[in-house]
This record gives sequence, C-alpha cells and structure tokens, in this order.
Amino acid sequence: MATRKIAFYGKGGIGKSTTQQNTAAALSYFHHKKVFIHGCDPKADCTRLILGEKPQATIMDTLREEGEEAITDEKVIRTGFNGVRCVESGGPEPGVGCAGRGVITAINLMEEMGAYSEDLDFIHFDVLGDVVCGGFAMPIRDGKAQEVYIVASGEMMAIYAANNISRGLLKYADQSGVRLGGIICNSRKVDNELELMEEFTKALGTQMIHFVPRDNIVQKAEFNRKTTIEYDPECNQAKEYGELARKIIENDMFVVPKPLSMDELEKMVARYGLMD
Amino acid sequence: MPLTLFKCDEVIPERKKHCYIKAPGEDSAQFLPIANADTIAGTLSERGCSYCGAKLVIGGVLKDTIQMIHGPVGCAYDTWHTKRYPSDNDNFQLKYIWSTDVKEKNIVFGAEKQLRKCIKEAFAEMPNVKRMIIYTTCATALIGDDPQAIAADIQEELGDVDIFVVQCPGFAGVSQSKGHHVLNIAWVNEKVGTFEPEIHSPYTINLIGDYNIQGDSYVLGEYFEKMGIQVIAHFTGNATYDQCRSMHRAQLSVVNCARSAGYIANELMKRYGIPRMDVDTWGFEYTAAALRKVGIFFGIEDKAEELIAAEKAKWQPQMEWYKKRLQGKKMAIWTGGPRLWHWTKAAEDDLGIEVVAMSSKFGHQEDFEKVIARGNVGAIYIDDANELEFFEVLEMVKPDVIFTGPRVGDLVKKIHIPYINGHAYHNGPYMGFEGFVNMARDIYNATRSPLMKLAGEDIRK
Repeated sequence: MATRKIAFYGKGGIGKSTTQQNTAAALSYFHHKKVFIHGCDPKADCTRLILGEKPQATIMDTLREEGEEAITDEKVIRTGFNGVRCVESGGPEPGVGCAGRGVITAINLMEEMGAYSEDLDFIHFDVLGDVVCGGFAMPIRDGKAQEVYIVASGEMMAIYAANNISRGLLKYADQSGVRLGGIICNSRKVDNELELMEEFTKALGTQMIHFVPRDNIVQKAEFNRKTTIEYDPECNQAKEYGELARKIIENDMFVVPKPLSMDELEKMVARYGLMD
Repeated sequence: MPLTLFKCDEVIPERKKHCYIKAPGEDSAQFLPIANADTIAGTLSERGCSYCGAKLVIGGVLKDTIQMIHGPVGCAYDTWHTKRYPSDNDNFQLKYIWSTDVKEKNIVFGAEKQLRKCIKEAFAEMPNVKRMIIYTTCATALIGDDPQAIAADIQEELGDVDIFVVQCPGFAGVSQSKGHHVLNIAWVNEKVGTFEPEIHSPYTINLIGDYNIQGDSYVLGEYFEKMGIQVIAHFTGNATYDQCRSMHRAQLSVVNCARSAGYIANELMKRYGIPRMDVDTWGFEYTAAALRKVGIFFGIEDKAEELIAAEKAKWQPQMEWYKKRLQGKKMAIWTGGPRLWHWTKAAEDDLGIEVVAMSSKFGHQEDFEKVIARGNVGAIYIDDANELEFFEVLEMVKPDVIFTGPRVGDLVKKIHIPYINGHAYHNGPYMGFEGFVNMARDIYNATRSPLMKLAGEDIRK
C-alpha cells in the first residue's frame, strides 16, 4: 500500500493534537500500521503523548543553532509508542518571525532528507489551528498531504474554523488534488452536537467520519504523557480511537468541500443553538 | 494623434493608455497617458522596487551615513554603486554598504536580533561615523520586525548616534516612486528640525532634488556661493545627515527634481512656511532662469546677472561650437521621469537637437503634463515602457542617440545606436552651464564616433 499522507486541521484547543496522536497510536496498535507524525505547530506539542516527553530538538531549533547541515534523521526524528516515529518543525516564539515560513522550510528539509520513507503506511501532518497563511497551507500543497481531516465539535467557533479551513482546502483542491476525508467530532457534550455536526458535514458535502465521545480518561492519560491507547488499551475510549482509525483506513469518501457562506453558517448554528 | 497601441502590444491592448504621440494642436488636456499605475501583466516592466527608490535615489547619497539594509544580501548590492554620486569626503557612500544578510532562520525566528547585532557592529567598526539609515526590505517587513524600536533602543544605549528608519519594502508601491515619497515624509516627520545649522548668510536655501550625479551639486553649490547664498542642505547631493536635519532653517526651497523630492518641499512649506520654487538646473537658458528667479526672490538680481554673464562668457562659445555640429540630431530620453521635461526643450533650444521619443519608468501624470507641454509635436511619450516597445519606437523615429540606463543601453548598442547613461551620465556633471557643455560634448562624441559604424561591419567578410 502506498503511503497515505494525512493532514489534521482544526480550531486551536479543540483537541486536535490529542485526537491526532490517539489516532496514530490506534493505527499502529490495533491495525499494525507504520505511522510517522510531522508536527507543524511552532509550540512543538504534536508528539508529546507518543514520545512520553516534551520532545526532541525541533527541526527549526537545530537549523537555528547548528545550521542546515546538522539536521539529520538521528538528530530530529524520535521513535515513541509502538514504533511511531515523530518529528517536530518547531518555530519562533509567539509574536516574532514567520512561523508559516518555518513550516515550509521544515517540510522541504524533511523531503530533501528522504525522511518520509516509502515503508510508511501513514504520515500525519499536525497543523496549528487554522490555515492562517500560505505557510500553514504547505502540508496540503502539491505532493504533500492528499487527505485532510478536520477536528471539530458542536461549538460555534469550532464550526466556523472548520468552514474556514474548508475554504483554504478548496483553494488548493484543484492544483494539488487534496481532498477532505471527513470531520472528526471531538465531542464537547454541547446540546444537539451530533445533529448539528451531521447537518454541517452534509452541507459541506463531506461526512462526520467519527463521533469521539468525551471521556475523562483521555485527560488522565495526557497527565501521564500518554495516549489513551498506551495508558489503557482495553478501555472504551481506546476502542473509540481504534474505530476512528479503522474508518480512516477504510475511508473512500474524499471530496472537494463546499464551504458555507457566513450567512448560511450563522443561520445553521443559531438554529441549533436556540433549540431547547 | 490620440493614445496609440503599438504593434508589439496588440496582445496587451491595455498598454494603449500608456503611449501617446503628440499631434499638432493637441495638449495634455485631451490626451494624457496613464502613469504611476500598476504594471500591466504581460509587459516586462523596467521599473525598480519601492525600497530602491528610497535607498538608491535619496538616502544612499548622504556622505556620512551608514546605510543598513535589513534584508537578504542582494537588496544591498543591487542598490549600491549603480548611480555615480561622489562626495567631497573621498566618496564614503560609494565605498561602503551594509547588509544584515538575513537568512531562512532569521525569517522564521525574527531578524531583530540580527539587526541589533549588525547595527552595533557597524558603529563599532567605524567609530567616527555616528549616523545611520535602516531600510526594511520585503522579507523583514513581512515578518513584522520593528526596526524603529531597535533604533530607539540603540540610540539610547550608545548616546551619540542618530538613526533614521525607512519602512518601505519593495512591494509597497507600483514603482520606485513610492520609496521617494515614504523617505521624504518620514524624514520631515522625524528628522527635520532636530539640528540647528550655523547661519552665515542673510540668504539661505535648501536645494532639493539634486543628488550630485558626477558632481552636479558642486556646480550648483558654487553658483549659490558666488551669489552669497548659503545652501543649508542639498537634499541629498554631497550632503550630511545633519545638514538635512536643518532644512527648517532655510528661507526658500529650490526644487529641481520635483518627482523625487517635491513632497518634502511641500511639507516644509506647510509646516515651516518655507516657500517652494521649482527650477530646472539642466540647460543653459534654464540654469540662467533658475539663478535669476532665486536672485529675484532675495532681491539680489544683480548678483545673479553678474554670475550668468560670467558663466555665459566662459561657456557660450563652446556651447555654440557643439550646437552648430549637433543641429538636427535626433535624441531619445528613456529615463525615470523628470529628466524628460527637464531636458526636452533644453536640448532643442540650447543644442538644436530634436527629442523624438521619451519614456518614463516612475513619473506621475503631473510629469507627463509637463513634458507634453514642453515636448515636440510628433514625439512619442510612453509610461513604463518595455523593451519591445523600445525597439518599435526605434523603427519609427530612428534616433541618433539615446539617453537611458545601462541595461537598455546595452540593448541599443547591439543595433549600433549610441547610448549615453541618462541616470548617472557618461562624463558629467551635466547641470549648470558647464554641465550642459559636458552633455553636448558627450552627445557629439557619441554621434560622431565611428565606433558604432565599425561595430556594424562583419569583419569575417
């Protein structure tokens, strides 16, 4: 099977990196897939649950401190839970420089090094919040990720962000062939969440690929710097992630999204928000 | 004839609005080319970037100032040394250029630390130099570096330095012109009025829009000295940073290049009540008129007339010698903007030359109004011309000599038409009485030299 390159987007704080890492762990543990995670958030926190530590030297840190020549597989790639391999782009502290350019530079360097090796089943790009500029769209440009999953919940701002990300996706769909694989609902237990998500995903022309219920064990595992799968593979939540992973493996619904206008979106959200 | 579409532009018909051929009885009220507008996709513009307008044209002329270009190294090199403006302190500004040389990692992590380091290094390397201009470029502007804050910080730390910041990245405007504007306004906002000059004459002027190309400022400076007038600041030929901080103390702003520096003259008028007087300092009769006007302003016409008479006595015979030999020669002027209207009538009246084609890279419509008013019927006037248009113009009007930059100059050399550097001159200065004789001599040499004819012969035959 050819390597599937997947990008995860979603509003900041939605549980995107948690979901992404639990999915990676589930792909590896339950379905025996070889997974590589490329964290594209300047905060470099997309791999800590897999690695069980605040990670490795990031690509950009190494570039800054030691120069481009110093960047090697051994230096920047770490292997964590169940053989999942991880790299972090890193980037500037908030408010300076250009984090977007950092993402571009880091992905280019990894490609030049051949780090995305052919034996991999999945490569995850974990991208910060929104497609705020060209840099953060890098993972969905030519030859990079072909499928995108957006992590969202029934909260208004999460829906807005998902719609915005779809607009970014639409822009690149033609030239790079990138497609939306679905929305992962990371439940916040808000009213009518499932119904709103179903209507929203339908309007976008995509699917809600999985409804991940809210469960405190995810947080408990996180305090221990572990994915739920590593922390307790037998628990129900681990099985939910296993199910999400299975659906991703078997997914055959890849679409060019049809983002909603601001007007349509507000009407839809208001309808569910006002329901009792 | 109205606005004209060249054959080479048939696929980009929008270019029609930028090209004009003057017909009898027409004026700019009927037909005025569009100018200072976005370059049209499909034409290979000759324009430079907005940062270049600030650095190469104005700021970089100052003779005692560190020019710190905050960007990739090419931004420094490409705006250094391509224009010849000497100075009387051994050409400091032509010898040195400074770059923060930002790289990928500086862009990603912010380049402020790099800038701070470079500023301190530059001042430490040259302990006698206490003035600096920092320019942002595209890359460092995009990432939001704040050079203003760093400059303020370092001024406080070092105590005896003064730093000016120009925030005009290359993409800020449609051409160099935006850079002129940004620098003018920032300078008057931040620096004018912060230094007091020594006044030693009852008559004081600023000489604005004169960049000492091959010594122009020396010529003009001497004239005003002879008239007993103190030039507080040339903006910016052979000038020091502090002279330009003193511009508020002049009684009159004499403006030559209205395009690149009319802004500061206007601001000086608004803020300090200093009147603006526009002059032409190229050409025999224009120079005489300019000196006369300034003389009248101060009530010292006699001194002006005395000077004009002495200069004419010295240079008129040489001028006449050339004029006789240049009669009917055809000239094209393809430069930045103002030289079109400074030169066209001067060349015609003083030298008997016919100016047949003109193009401007960054002139505004105001410049076209002036040049169409002064220029010949039948002459071609183009805004933001491209090379194909140039070749078509050559076919149409067959000039004997072309005043333009080295790049287009090398192109026309290939078809054996002599070119003279219209930006930096061949053997200047060109301003003033002696300057126009120099210009006449360069035209004479260019058009009489057998070189181009010989170059056209195929020596294999």
